[in-house]
Amino acid sequence: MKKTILALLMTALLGICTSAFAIDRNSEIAIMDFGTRPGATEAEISLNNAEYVTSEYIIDRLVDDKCFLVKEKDFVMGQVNDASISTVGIIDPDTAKKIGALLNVKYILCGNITNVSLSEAGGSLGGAGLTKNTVQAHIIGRVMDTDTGNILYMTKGTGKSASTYTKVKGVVGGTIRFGTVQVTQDSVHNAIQKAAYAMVDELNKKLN
Amino acid sequence: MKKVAILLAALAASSVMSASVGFAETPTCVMMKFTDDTRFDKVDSAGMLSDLVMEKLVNTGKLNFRGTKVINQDIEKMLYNERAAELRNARRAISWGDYNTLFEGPGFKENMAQSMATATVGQIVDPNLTAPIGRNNSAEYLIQGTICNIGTGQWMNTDINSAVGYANMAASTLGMAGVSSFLGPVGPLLSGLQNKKTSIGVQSELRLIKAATGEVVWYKKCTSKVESDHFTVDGAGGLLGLGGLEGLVAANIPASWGDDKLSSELLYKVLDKASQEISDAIVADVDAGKLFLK
Repeated sequence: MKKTILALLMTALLGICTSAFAIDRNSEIAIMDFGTRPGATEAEISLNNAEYVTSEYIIDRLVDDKCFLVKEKDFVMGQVNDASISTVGIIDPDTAKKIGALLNVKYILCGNITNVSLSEAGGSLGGAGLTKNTVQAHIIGRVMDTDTGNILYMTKGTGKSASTYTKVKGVVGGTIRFGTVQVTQDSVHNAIQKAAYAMVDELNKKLN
Repeated sequence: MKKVAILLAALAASSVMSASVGFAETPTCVMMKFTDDTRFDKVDSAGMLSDLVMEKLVNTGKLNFRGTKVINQDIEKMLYNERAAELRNARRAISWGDYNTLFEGPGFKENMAQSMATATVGQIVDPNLTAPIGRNNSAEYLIQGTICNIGTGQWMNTDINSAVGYANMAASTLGMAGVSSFLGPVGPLLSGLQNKKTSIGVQSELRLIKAATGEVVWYKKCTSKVESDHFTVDGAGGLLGLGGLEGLVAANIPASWGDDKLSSELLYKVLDKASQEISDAIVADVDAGKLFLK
Protein backbone atom coordinates (compact mmCIF):
# COMPACT_ATOMS: atom_id res chain seq x y z
CA MET A 1 0.00 0.00 0.00
CA LYS A 2 2.85 2.34 0.89
CA LYS A 3 4.39 1.75 -2.50
CA THR A 4 1.09 2.55 -4.19
CA ILE A 5 0.76 5.78 -2.24
CA LEU A 6 4.33 6.72 -3.10
CA ALA A 7 3.70 6.04 -6.78
CA LEU A 8 0.49 8.08 -6.73
CA LEU A 9 2.26 10.92 -4.93
CA MET A 10 5.02 10.91 -7.55
CA THR A 11 2.46 10.88 -10.37
CA ALA A 12 0.60 13.79 -8.79
CA LEU A 13 3.79 15.79 -8.38
CA LEU A 14 4.85 15.02 -11.93
CA GLY A 15 1.51 16.15 -13.23
CA ILE A 16 1.61 19.36 -11.23
CA CYS A 17 5.13 20.13 -12.35
CA THR A 18 4.39 19.46 -16.02
CA SER A 19 3.41 22.64 -17.73
CA ALA A 20 0.81 22.37 -20.47
CA PHE A 21 3.28 24.00 -22.85
CA ALA A 22 6.39 22.16 -21.64
CA ILE A 23 8.32 20.38 -24.30
CA ASP A 24 11.13 17.92 -23.88
CA ARG A 25 14.47 19.38 -24.96
CA ASN A 26 15.83 15.87 -25.35
CA SER A 27 13.27 14.85 -27.95
CA GLU A 28 14.15 14.38 -31.57
CA ILE A 29 13.41 17.27 -33.89
CA ALA A 30 13.58 17.69 -37.66
CA ILE A 31 14.52 21.06 -39.11
CA MET A 32 12.84 21.92 -42.38
CA ASP A 33 14.04 24.28 -45.08
CA PHE A 34 12.81 27.79 -44.39
CA GLY A 35 10.67 29.65 -46.90
CA THR A 36 10.95 33.19 -48.21
CA ARG A 37 8.17 35.64 -48.80
CA PRO A 38 7.88 37.17 -52.28
CA GLY A 39 8.53 40.66 -50.95
CA ALA A 40 11.15 39.62 -48.44
CA THR A 41 14.05 41.29 -50.20
CA GLU A 42 15.06 44.33 -52.15
CA ALA A 43 16.50 44.30 -55.63
CA GLU A 44 20.07 44.80 -54.37
CA ILE A 45 19.94 41.64 -52.29
CA SER A 46 20.23 38.15 -53.63
CA LEU A 47 18.85 35.42 -51.41
CA ASN A 48 20.71 32.65 -53.14
CA ASN A 49 20.12 29.34 -51.33
CA ALA A 50 19.02 31.20 -48.19
CA GLU A 51 16.24 28.70 -47.40
CA TYR A 52 18.70 25.82 -47.04
CA VAL A 53 21.38 27.92 -45.36
CA THR A 54 19.01 29.24 -42.70
CA SER A 55 18.09 25.77 -41.54
CA GLU A 56 21.79 24.81 -41.51
CA TYR A 57 22.60 27.74 -39.20
CA ILE A 58 19.70 26.77 -36.96
CA ILE A 59 20.95 23.19 -36.73
CA ASP A 60 24.44 24.48 -35.98
CA ARG A 61 23.20 26.51 -33.02
CA LEU A 62 20.80 23.86 -31.72
CA VAL A 63 23.56 21.25 -31.70
CA ASP A 64 26.02 23.64 -30.04
CA ASP A 65 23.47 24.47 -27.34
CA LYS A 66 22.53 20.79 -26.90
CA CYS A 67 18.94 21.78 -27.48
CA PHE A 68 16.91 18.85 -28.91
CA LEU A 69 18.32 15.83 -30.68
CA VAL A 70 18.52 17.14 -34.20
CA LYS A 71 17.92 14.68 -37.02
CA GLU A 72 20.53 14.72 -39.75
CA LYS A 73 19.27 17.21 -42.31
CA ASP A 74 20.24 15.34 -45.47
CA PHE A 75 18.61 12.18 -44.13
CA VAL A 76 15.47 14.17 -43.29
CA MET A 77 15.24 15.83 -46.68
CA GLY A 78 15.98 12.56 -48.45
CA GLN A 79 13.17 10.81 -46.62
CA VAL A 80 10.59 13.55 -47.13
CA ASN A 81 11.53 14.02 -50.77
CA ASP A 82 11.18 10.28 -51.36
CA ALA A 83 7.73 10.51 -49.81
CA SER A 84 6.94 13.54 -52.05
CA ILE A 85 6.12 15.76 -49.06
CA SER A 86 6.47 19.51 -49.50
CA THR A 87 8.37 20.91 -46.54
CA VAL A 88 9.54 24.39 -47.48
CA GLY A 89 8.26 27.28 -45.36
CA ILE A 90 4.81 26.77 -43.94
CA ILE A 91 3.64 23.30 -43.05
CA ASP A 92 0.08 22.27 -42.36
CA PRO A 93 -0.92 19.90 -39.53
CA ASP A 94 -1.52 16.91 -41.82
CA THR A 95 1.91 17.25 -43.39
CA ALA A 96 3.44 17.63 -39.92
CA LYS A 97 1.85 14.35 -38.88
CA LYS A 98 3.18 12.62 -41.98
CA ILE A 99 6.67 13.96 -41.30
CA GLY A 100 6.44 12.93 -37.64
CA ALA A 101 5.45 9.39 -38.56
CA LEU A 102 7.99 9.10 -41.37
CA LEU A 103 10.96 10.33 -39.35
CA ASN A 104 9.75 9.26 -35.92
CA VAL A 105 10.16 12.78 -34.53
CA LYS A 106 8.01 14.49 -31.93
CA TYR A 107 8.67 18.01 -33.17
CA ILE A 108 9.52 19.86 -36.33
CA LEU A 109 10.91 23.36 -36.68
CA CYS A 110 9.94 25.32 -39.75
CA GLY A 111 9.41 28.94 -40.68
CA ASN A 112 10.04 31.83 -42.98
CA ILE A 113 12.69 34.37 -43.78
CA THR A 114 10.33 37.27 -43.28
CA ASN A 115 12.48 40.09 -44.50
CA VAL A 116 16.03 40.82 -45.58
CA SER A 117 16.56 44.51 -46.07
CA LEU A 118 19.24 46.97 -46.82
CA SER A 119 19.52 50.33 -45.11
CA GLU A 120 22.06 52.94 -45.88
CA ALA A 121 23.29 55.50 -43.40
CA GLY A 122 26.08 57.82 -44.12
CA GLY A 123 27.59 61.18 -43.78
CA SER A 124 29.45 63.52 -46.01
CA LEU A 125 31.48 66.58 -45.41
CA GLY A 126 32.51 68.30 -48.55
CA GLY A 127 33.86 65.66 -50.92
CA ALA A 128 34.67 63.16 -48.19
CA GLY A 129 32.09 60.71 -46.98
CA LEU A 130 31.31 57.52 -45.21
CA THR A 131 28.49 55.16 -46.13
CA LYS A 132 27.40 52.30 -43.95
CA ASN A 133 25.33 49.61 -45.64
CA THR A 134 23.49 47.45 -43.16
CA VAL A 135 21.82 44.24 -44.19
CA GLN A 136 19.20 43.13 -41.69
CA ALA A 137 17.58 39.72 -41.73
CA HIS A 138 14.46 38.77 -39.84
CA ILE A 139 13.33 35.19 -39.52
CA ILE A 140 10.45 33.58 -37.69
CA GLY A 141 10.57 29.94 -36.64
CA ARG A 142 7.83 27.68 -35.32
CA VAL A 143 8.12 24.55 -33.23
CA MET A 144 5.27 22.27 -34.06
CA ASP A 145 4.01 19.14 -32.32
CA THR A 146 3.72 16.46 -35.00
CA ASP A 147 1.08 14.52 -33.04
CA THR A 148 -1.39 17.35 -32.62
CA GLY A 149 -0.40 19.86 -35.28
CA ASN A 150 -0.28 22.56 -32.60
CA ILE A 151 2.32 25.29 -32.67
CA LEU A 152 4.09 25.20 -29.34
CA TYR A 153 6.50 28.08 -29.78
CA MET A 154 7.15 30.83 -32.25
CA THR A 155 10.32 32.82 -32.04
CA LYS A 156 11.89 35.42 -34.21
CA GLY A 157 15.47 36.40 -34.70
CA THR A 158 17.10 39.46 -36.16
CA GLY A 159 20.64 39.70 -37.49
CA LYS A 160 22.61 42.62 -38.86
CA SER A 161 25.71 42.79 -40.98
CA ALA A 162 27.28 46.10 -41.82
CA SER A 163 29.86 47.10 -44.39
CA THR A 164 31.44 50.52 -44.70
CA TYR A 165 32.50 52.51 -47.68
CA THR A 166 34.76 55.48 -47.08
CA LYS A 167 35.69 58.17 -49.54
CA VAL A 168 38.38 60.71 -48.65
CA LYS A 169 39.37 63.65 -50.78
CA GLY A 170 43.12 63.75 -51.34
CA VAL A 171 45.12 66.86 -50.49
CA VAL A 172 46.48 67.15 -54.01
CA GLY A 173 43.23 66.29 -55.71
CA GLY A 174 41.79 62.88 -56.48
CA THR A 175 39.82 60.64 -54.14
CA ILE A 176 40.86 57.71 -52.01
CA ARG A 177 38.21 54.99 -51.50
CA PHE A 178 38.00 52.20 -48.94
CA GLY A 179 35.46 49.37 -48.77
CA THR A 180 32.68 48.47 -51.13
CA VAL A 181 29.44 50.15 -52.07
CA GLN A 182 27.90 46.85 -53.05
CA VAL A 183 25.98 44.45 -50.85
CA THR A 184 27.95 41.24 -50.82
CA GLN A 185 26.64 37.73 -50.45
CA ASP A 186 28.80 37.50 -47.33
CA SER A 187 26.89 40.35 -45.73
CA VAL A 188 23.57 38.68 -46.50
CA HIS A 189 24.73 35.34 -45.11
CA ASN A 190 26.22 36.98 -42.02
CA ALA A 191 22.91 38.67 -41.32
CA ILE A 192 20.98 35.43 -41.84
CA GLN A 193 23.40 33.52 -39.62
CA LYS A 194 23.00 36.07 -36.81
CA ALA A 195 19.24 36.01 -37.20
CA ALA A 196 19.17 32.20 -37.07
CA TYR A 197 21.38 32.15 -33.98
CA ALA A 198 19.27 34.84 -32.30
CA MET A 199 16.13 32.83 -33.05
CA VAL A 200 17.57 29.67 -31.47
CA ASP A 201 18.80 31.65 -28.45
CA GLU A 202 15.32 33.06 -27.99
CA LEU A 203 13.82 29.57 -28.27
CA ASN A 204 16.33 28.28 -25.75
CA LYS A 205 15.31 31.03 -23.32
CA LYS A 206 11.68 30.06 -23.66
CA LEU A 207 12.42 26.38 -23.12
CA ASN A 208 14.32 27.15 -19.95
CA MET B 1 -4.85 4.69 4.59
CA LYS B 2 -7.33 3.79 1.89
CA LYS B 3 -8.79 7.28 2.00
CA VAL B 4 -5.32 8.77 1.56
CA ALA B 5 -4.73 6.50 -1.41
CA ILE B 6 -8.05 7.48 -3.00
CA LEU B 7 -7.33 11.15 -2.39
CA LEU B 8 -3.89 10.86 -3.92
CA ALA B 9 -5.25 8.92 -6.87
CA ALA B 10 -7.74 11.70 -7.52
CA LEU B 11 -5.03 14.31 -7.16
CA ALA B 12 -2.74 12.40 -9.52
CA ALA B 13 -5.46 11.99 -12.09
CA SER B 14 -6.53 15.60 -11.94
CA SER B 15 -3.00 16.97 -12.11
CA VAL B 16 -2.09 14.80 -15.09
CA MET B 17 -5.37 15.69 -16.77
CA SER B 18 -4.87 19.39 -16.15
CA ALA B 19 -1.40 19.23 -17.66
CA SER B 20 -2.56 17.37 -20.73
CA VAL B 21 -5.72 19.32 -21.37
CA GLY B 22 -4.25 22.73 -20.52
CA PHE B 23 -3.36 23.31 -24.13
CA ALA B 24 -6.76 22.11 -25.22
CA GLU B 25 -8.49 24.63 -22.93
CA THR B 26 -6.93 27.49 -24.83
CA PRO B 27 -9.20 28.46 -27.72
CA THR B 28 -8.03 27.04 -31.01
CA CYS B 29 -7.54 29.35 -33.95
CA VAL B 30 -6.50 29.29 -37.54
CA MET B 31 -5.03 32.20 -39.38
CA MET B 32 -6.89 33.12 -42.54
CA LYS B 33 -5.08 34.71 -45.44
CA PHE B 34 -4.62 38.39 -44.66
CA THR B 35 -5.57 40.78 -47.38
CA ASP B 36 -3.84 43.92 -48.52
CA ASP B 37 -6.18 46.51 -49.97
CA THR B 38 -3.33 48.80 -50.99
CA ARG B 39 -1.22 48.98 -54.10
CA PHE B 40 1.66 47.41 -52.13
CA ASP B 41 0.06 43.97 -52.09
CA LYS B 42 2.72 42.68 -54.52
CA VAL B 43 5.41 42.91 -51.82
CA ASP B 44 3.34 40.50 -49.70
CA SER B 45 3.03 42.89 -46.78
CA ALA B 46 -0.11 40.99 -45.75
CA GLY B 47 1.88 37.74 -45.52
CA MET B 48 4.54 39.47 -43.46
CA LEU B 49 1.91 40.94 -41.13
CA SER B 50 0.17 37.59 -40.65
CA ASP B 51 3.51 35.95 -39.72
CA LEU B 52 4.24 38.68 -37.20
CA VAL B 53 0.75 38.70 -35.69
CA MET B 54 0.84 34.93 -35.33
CA GLU B 55 4.23 35.07 -33.64
CA LYS B 56 3.00 37.63 -31.12
CA LEU B 57 -0.28 35.84 -30.44
CA VAL B 58 1.31 32.40 -29.96
CA ASN B 59 3.64 33.94 -27.41
CA THR B 60 0.77 35.43 -25.41
CA GLY B 61 -0.47 31.90 -24.68
CA LYS B 62 -4.05 33.18 -24.96
CA LEU B 63 -4.71 31.38 -28.20
CA ASN B 64 -3.74 27.97 -29.47
CA PHE B 65 -2.85 27.82 -33.14
CA ARG B 66 -3.61 24.71 -35.13
CA GLY B 67 -0.84 24.20 -37.57
CA THR B 68 1.34 26.77 -39.16
CA LYS B 69 -0.30 26.99 -42.48
CA VAL B 70 -2.13 30.18 -43.11
CA ILE B 71 -5.42 29.04 -44.58
CA ASN B 72 -5.10 30.02 -48.16
CA GLN B 73 -8.74 30.85 -48.62
CA ASP B 74 -9.42 34.51 -49.18
CA ILE B 75 -12.48 34.95 -47.00
CA GLU B 76 -12.90 38.49 -48.27
CA LYS B 77 -13.19 37.22 -51.82
CA MET B 78 -15.47 34.37 -50.76
CA LEU B 79 -17.82 36.78 -49.05
CA TYR B 80 -17.81 39.05 -52.08
CA ASN B 81 -18.66 36.09 -54.31
CA GLU B 82 -21.48 35.10 -51.96
CA ARG B 83 -22.98 38.61 -52.13
CA ALA B 84 -22.53 38.66 -55.89
CA ALA B 85 -24.44 35.37 -56.17
CA GLU B 86 -27.33 36.84 -54.17
CA LEU B 87 -27.42 39.82 -56.50
CA ARG B 88 -27.43 37.53 -59.54
CA ASN B 89 -30.30 35.51 -58.07
CA ALA B 90 -32.28 38.67 -57.43
CA ARG B 91 -31.64 40.09 -60.89
CA ARG B 92 -34.89 38.77 -62.33
CA ALA B 93 -36.94 40.31 -59.57
CA ILE B 94 -35.06 43.60 -59.91
CA SER B 95 -35.78 43.68 -63.65
CA TRP B 96 -39.47 43.69 -62.71
CA GLY B 97 -38.92 46.52 -60.25
CA ASP B 98 -39.22 44.24 -57.24
CA TYR B 99 -36.40 45.33 -54.96
CA ASN B 100 -37.93 43.71 -51.89
CA THR B 101 -36.62 40.33 -53.02
CA LEU B 102 -33.14 41.74 -52.89
CA PHE B 103 -33.30 43.83 -49.73
CA GLU B 104 -35.23 41.25 -47.77
CA GLY B 105 -32.77 38.51 -48.71
CA PRO B 106 -30.62 36.96 -45.98
CA GLY B 107 -27.50 38.82 -47.08
CA PHE B 108 -29.09 42.21 -46.46
CA LYS B 109 -30.06 41.66 -42.87
CA GLU B 110 -28.67 44.42 -40.67
CA ASN B 111 -26.33 42.13 -38.75
CA MET B 112 -24.87 40.45 -41.82
CA ALA B 113 -21.42 41.65 -42.83
CA GLN B 114 -21.49 42.96 -46.38
CA SER B 115 -17.73 42.70 -46.77
CA MET B 116 -14.78 41.83 -44.60
CA ALA B 117 -13.58 45.42 -44.80
CA THR B 118 -16.71 46.65 -43.04
CA ALA B 119 -17.40 43.74 -40.67
CA THR B 120 -17.40 44.87 -37.07
CA VAL B 121 -18.15 43.29 -33.71
CA GLY B 122 -21.55 41.60 -33.56
CA GLN B 123 -21.92 41.27 -37.30
CA ILE B 124 -22.14 37.88 -38.92
CA VAL B 125 -19.89 36.69 -41.70
CA ASP B 126 -21.84 34.03 -43.57
CA PRO B 127 -21.54 30.88 -41.39
CA ASN B 128 -21.80 28.78 -44.56
CA LEU B 129 -18.32 30.10 -45.31
CA THR B 130 -16.79 30.10 -41.83
CA ALA B 131 -18.16 26.87 -40.31
CA PRO B 132 -16.57 24.46 -42.83
CA ILE B 133 -13.20 26.19 -42.43
CA GLY B 134 -13.46 25.78 -38.65
CA ARG B 135 -14.57 22.15 -38.93
CA ASN B 136 -11.89 21.18 -41.44
CA ASN B 137 -9.18 22.67 -39.27
CA SER B 138 -10.59 21.75 -35.84
CA ALA B 139 -10.59 25.43 -34.98
CA GLU B 140 -13.08 27.47 -32.99
CA TYR B 141 -11.95 30.87 -34.21
CA LEU B 142 -10.75 32.31 -37.49
CA ILE B 143 -8.38 35.24 -37.47
CA GLN B 144 -8.56 37.54 -40.44
CA GLY B 145 -6.55 40.68 -41.01
CA THR B 146 -6.62 43.45 -43.55
CA ILE B 147 -4.08 46.11 -44.42
CA CYS B 148 -6.24 49.11 -45.22
CA ASN B 149 -3.54 51.61 -45.96
CA ILE B 150 0.20 51.94 -46.22
CA GLY B 151 1.34 55.51 -46.40
CA THR B 152 4.78 56.77 -47.22
CA GLY B 153 6.27 60.20 -47.44
CA GLN B 154 7.67 62.89 -45.25
CA TRP B 155 5.23 63.10 -42.41
CA MET B 156 7.46 65.26 -40.32
CA ASN B 157 9.99 67.01 -42.36
CA THR B 158 11.58 69.48 -40.07
CA ASP B 159 13.44 72.43 -41.31
CA ILE B 160 15.31 75.07 -39.42
CA ASN B 161 12.24 76.20 -37.55
CA SER B 162 11.15 72.90 -36.12
CA ALA B 163 14.70 71.86 -35.26
CA VAL B 164 15.10 75.06 -33.30
CA GLY B 165 11.63 74.54 -31.92
CA TYR B 166 12.48 71.12 -30.52
CA ALA B 167 15.73 72.35 -29.06
CA ASN B 168 13.97 75.32 -27.47
CA MET B 169 11.32 73.01 -26.06
CA ALA B 170 14.02 70.81 -24.56
CA ALA B 171 15.82 73.84 -23.20
CA SER B 172 12.70 75.28 -21.65
CA THR B 173 11.82 71.91 -20.14
CA LEU B 174 15.19 71.81 -18.51
CA GLY B 175 14.87 75.40 -17.38
CA MET B 176 17.78 76.57 -19.46
CA ALA B 177 18.35 80.03 -20.80
CA GLY B 178 18.47 79.18 -24.48
CA VAL B 179 19.27 76.74 -27.22
CA SER B 180 22.91 77.69 -27.57
CA SER B 181 23.74 77.23 -23.94
CA PHE B 182 21.80 73.94 -23.88
CA LEU B 183 23.69 72.46 -26.79
CA GLY B 184 27.07 74.01 -26.01
CA PRO B 185 29.39 74.40 -28.97
CA VAL B 186 26.90 72.70 -31.33
CA GLY B 187 24.31 75.32 -30.56
CA PRO B 188 25.23 77.85 -33.24
CA LEU B 189 24.89 75.13 -35.88
CA LEU B 190 21.16 74.78 -35.27
CA SER B 191 20.36 77.55 -37.68
CA GLY B 192 21.72 75.35 -40.46
CA LEU B 193 20.54 71.98 -39.22
CA GLN B 194 17.83 70.13 -41.05
CA ASN B 195 16.23 66.92 -39.99
CA LYS B 196 14.36 65.09 -42.71
CA LYS B 197 12.14 62.40 -41.34
CA THR B 198 11.16 59.55 -43.65
CA SER B 199 8.02 57.96 -42.36
CA ILE B 200 5.93 54.99 -43.18
CA GLY B 201 2.58 54.28 -41.65
CA VAL B 202 0.29 51.31 -41.83
CA GLN B 203 -3.36 51.05 -40.99
CA SER B 204 -4.42 47.50 -40.26
CA GLU B 205 -7.44 45.65 -38.96
CA LEU B 206 -7.84 42.33 -37.25
CA ARG B 207 -11.00 40.33 -36.70
CA LEU B 208 -11.67 37.30 -34.58
CA ILE B 209 -14.54 35.33 -36.04
CA LYS B 210 -16.31 32.49 -34.26
CA ALA B 211 -16.20 29.77 -36.90
CA ALA B 212 -19.43 27.98 -35.97
CA THR B 213 -21.64 31.07 -36.09
CA GLY B 214 -19.64 33.47 -38.24
CA GLU B 215 -19.96 36.14 -35.56
CA VAL B 216 -17.23 38.75 -35.39
CA VAL B 217 -16.38 38.62 -31.69
CA TRP B 218 -13.46 41.03 -31.73
CA TYR B 219 -12.28 43.77 -34.03
CA LYS B 220 -9.48 46.28 -33.84
CA LYS B 221 -8.16 48.92 -36.19
CA CYS B 222 -4.65 50.19 -35.54
CA THR B 223 -2.56 52.87 -37.14
CA SER B 224 1.16 52.52 -36.63
CA LYS B 225 4.02 54.66 -37.81
CA VAL B 226 7.82 54.49 -37.81
CA GLU B 227 10.34 57.08 -38.88
CA SER B 228 13.98 57.32 -39.81
CA ASP B 229 16.10 60.46 -39.54
CA HIS B 230 18.39 62.14 -41.98
CA PHE B 231 20.32 65.15 -40.70
CA THR B 232 22.01 67.67 -42.88
CA VAL B 233 23.95 70.82 -42.14
CA ASP B 234 23.77 73.13 -45.07
CA GLY B 235 26.89 75.02 -44.08
CA ALA B 236 25.34 78.43 -44.46
CA GLY B 237 27.62 81.35 -43.76
CA GLY B 238 28.01 82.58 -40.22
CA LEU B 239 27.80 79.17 -38.61
CA LEU B 240 30.63 79.24 -36.19
CA GLY B 241 31.55 77.53 -32.97
CA LEU B 242 32.00 73.85 -33.80
CA GLY B 243 35.52 73.54 -32.52
CA GLY B 244 37.87 72.27 -35.20
CA LEU B 245 35.16 72.14 -37.83
CA GLU B 246 34.31 75.80 -37.73
CA GLY B 247 36.55 76.58 -40.71
CA LEU B 248 34.85 73.94 -42.88
CA VAL B 249 31.37 75.06 -41.93
CA ALA B 250 32.18 78.64 -42.51
CA ALA B 251 33.36 77.69 -45.98
CA ASN B 252 29.86 76.49 -46.88
CA ILE B 253 30.69 72.80 -47.01
CA PRO B 254 27.59 70.67 -46.47
CA ALA B 255 27.53 67.71 -44.11
CA SER B 256 24.93 64.97 -43.71
CA TRP B 257 24.19 61.88 -41.66
CA GLY B 258 21.46 59.27 -41.65
CA ASP B 259 19.20 57.61 -44.18
CA ASP B 260 16.47 59.33 -46.13
CA LYS B 261 15.50 56.37 -48.30
CA LEU B 262 12.44 54.29 -47.83
CA SER B 263 13.62 50.75 -47.25
CA SER B 264 11.91 47.44 -46.72
CA GLU B 265 13.42 47.54 -43.23
CA LEU B 266 11.08 50.44 -42.46
CA LEU B 267 8.16 48.44 -43.84
CA TYR B 268 9.14 45.48 -41.66
CA LYS B 269 9.46 47.73 -38.62
CA VAL B 270 6.05 49.29 -39.08
CA LEU B 271 4.40 45.91 -39.64
CA ASP B 272 6.12 44.55 -36.55
CA LYS B 273 4.87 47.54 -34.58
CA ALA B 274 1.35 47.08 -35.93
CA SER B 275 1.34 43.38 -35.03
CA GLN B 276 2.53 44.18 -31.51
CA GLU B 277 -0.22 46.77 -31.06
CA ILE B 278 -2.88 44.35 -32.29
CA SER B 279 -1.61 41.56 -30.07
CA ASP B 280 -1.45 43.87 -27.04
CA ALA B 281 -5.02 44.96 -27.74
CA ILE B 282 -6.30 41.36 -27.77
CA VAL B 283 -4.47 40.52 -24.54
CA ALA B 284 -5.73 43.71 -22.88
CA ASP B 285 -9.34 42.92 -23.83
CA VAL B 286 -9.06 39.30 -22.68
CA ASP B 287 -7.51 40.39 -19.38
CA ALA B 288 -10.10 43.12 -18.89
CA GLY B 289 -12.91 40.65 -19.49
CA LYS B 290 -14.09 42.46 -22.63
CA LEU B 291 -13.34 39.45 -24.78
CA PHE B 292 -14.47 36.02 -23.71
CA LEU B 293 -13.09 33.31 -25.87
CA LYS B 294 -15.07 30.05 -25.74
